[in-house]
Amino acid sequence: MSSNSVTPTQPRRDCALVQELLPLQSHNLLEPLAAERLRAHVALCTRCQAELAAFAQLDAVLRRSMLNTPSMPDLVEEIMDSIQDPVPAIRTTSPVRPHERAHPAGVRRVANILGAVAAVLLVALVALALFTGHDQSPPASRRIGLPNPTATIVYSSSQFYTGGAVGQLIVSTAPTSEKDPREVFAHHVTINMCSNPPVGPVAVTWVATSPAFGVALIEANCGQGTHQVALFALSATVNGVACHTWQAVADLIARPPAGTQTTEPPSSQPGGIPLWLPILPRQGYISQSMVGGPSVIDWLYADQTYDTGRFVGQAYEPQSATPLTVMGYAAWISMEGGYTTITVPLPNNQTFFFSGTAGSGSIRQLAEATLTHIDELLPIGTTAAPGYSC
Amino acid sequence: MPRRLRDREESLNDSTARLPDAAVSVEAFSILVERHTSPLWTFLRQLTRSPELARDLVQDTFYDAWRAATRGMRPFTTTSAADEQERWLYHVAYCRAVSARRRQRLIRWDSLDANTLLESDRLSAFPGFEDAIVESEAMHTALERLSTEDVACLLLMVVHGFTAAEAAAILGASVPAVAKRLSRAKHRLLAVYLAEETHSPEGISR
Repeated sequence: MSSNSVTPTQPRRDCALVQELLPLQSHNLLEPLAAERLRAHVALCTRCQAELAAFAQLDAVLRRSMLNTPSMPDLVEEIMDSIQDPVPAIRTTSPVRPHERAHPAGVRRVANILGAVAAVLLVALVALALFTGHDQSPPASRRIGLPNPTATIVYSSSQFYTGGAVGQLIVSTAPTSEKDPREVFAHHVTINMCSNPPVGPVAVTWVATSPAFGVALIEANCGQGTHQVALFALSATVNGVACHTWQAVADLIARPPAGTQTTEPPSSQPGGIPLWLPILPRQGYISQSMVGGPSVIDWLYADQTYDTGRFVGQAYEPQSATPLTVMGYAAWISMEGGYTTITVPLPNNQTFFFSGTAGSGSIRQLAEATLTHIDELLPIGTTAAPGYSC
Repeated sequence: MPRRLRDREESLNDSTARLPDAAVSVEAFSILVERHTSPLWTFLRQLTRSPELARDLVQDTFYDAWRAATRGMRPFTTTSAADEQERWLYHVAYCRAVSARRRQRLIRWDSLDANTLLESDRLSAFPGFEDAIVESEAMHTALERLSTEDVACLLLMVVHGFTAAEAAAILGASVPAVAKRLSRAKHRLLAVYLAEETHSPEGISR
């Protein structure tokens, strides 16, 4: 493809009208009227003829550049090995096969999981020893539940699994007859947030709960300046279908250290802060999100956190909540664990919330801005992420 | 012809592309792995800009697929079409790539070994096609200047031959949004690619 492909003639005034259509012509994406308009224009415009040809050449170069990739029998073998028998694939002390040596990351993934399993057992033992003899009735929203867990979520500081689009899926055995996700979490879920036992207590802050859904931010100090944060959700329904047991999904990430200078993601990209959302600063953060059914997103800074979400169902209102009106909706504001949360019951049995480590005025401003663009930032999906089912 | 269209025709008489129901066999799954490993890696490599990370994500994607298959979940049942399985794989791969890219903002690394392997593979696969290599490098460089979403849209529709509706399902977007993104992405890619060619010491003139 030559750089001289596009003839440098003066653009006609109506060229602008077909600019968006030109790249779509080869994909049969144009409505009949638009296709006819484009055809009529191109027939008379040498510049657009050249540009149309350039797009066709671009497609050809793109295909040539991507499709001529070698077959990957070693990767196929690795995949089948890990599926059929994960144990041999992580036998790191035995002689390593050539392809494993060349590509250790694939093996490292499975090894990390087993390491994390061992770590969670260790943490469970340490934590049991720590909590035995202490206050036996901790607030469910502030401490990891330990007794007789029936679902275990295993993380390590460097690796985590996903069951679909985000985070890790756990099909728990906690019955959905239990209607408070905080109780379900306290009695049925154990999370290991760090490779090693965390420094100090693990903070669990429920930012929204309902009889069928709950979302929490879980944070652990893993030592050496690493603070792991899990965006954690429990749901009693998937794809609108009631499940017999609560389903959990989580995404774990390290909070960016102070002084981190991340580039601001474009507002249109996942995790990017939309231009209309008055969060400052716009650098030094990293984000987490959940997609599919409910929408939840958070932005983590070294010393600040903001999160927002929308889900189907009516939220529990904390006893300490204060009523207020947000953009005409009867809502409430609550403060817990350093977070200020505004919760807004919406029509159609939906709930919106905005939470963060800022004052009530700022959170209200952020909530109102988000409500104005709620369908853009927090779409309610009709299907959950792949692999996410009862 | 885009490879996907060719596959679609082949799949008409290819019953092995479907997995048996609950008792899915390893053999049937291995056919799926063999068929999609290389295209998925190509897709993920461009999204993640890391050959080694792409390998990991391909492995993770198939691990998810295997877990779904062993649970008898769609699209890995006897009634699921090969197209459906392919869309599922690309959707999970795309989501994983987006998640990985998010993390790469803080931690970046390059695998020189993997890059060396790739180059030698390409050279041995296409001896004498120096122009094609330069062209390919210019294209890869140009793609790196586009957003992840733009690249995904381009690869799915131009390279892998997905329809707009299929790409929309994979990307979790509407068809009009995909069409708009494709249009903008092609305009950007053309501009960046032509700039790359202009600055290339060898230049390309065919």
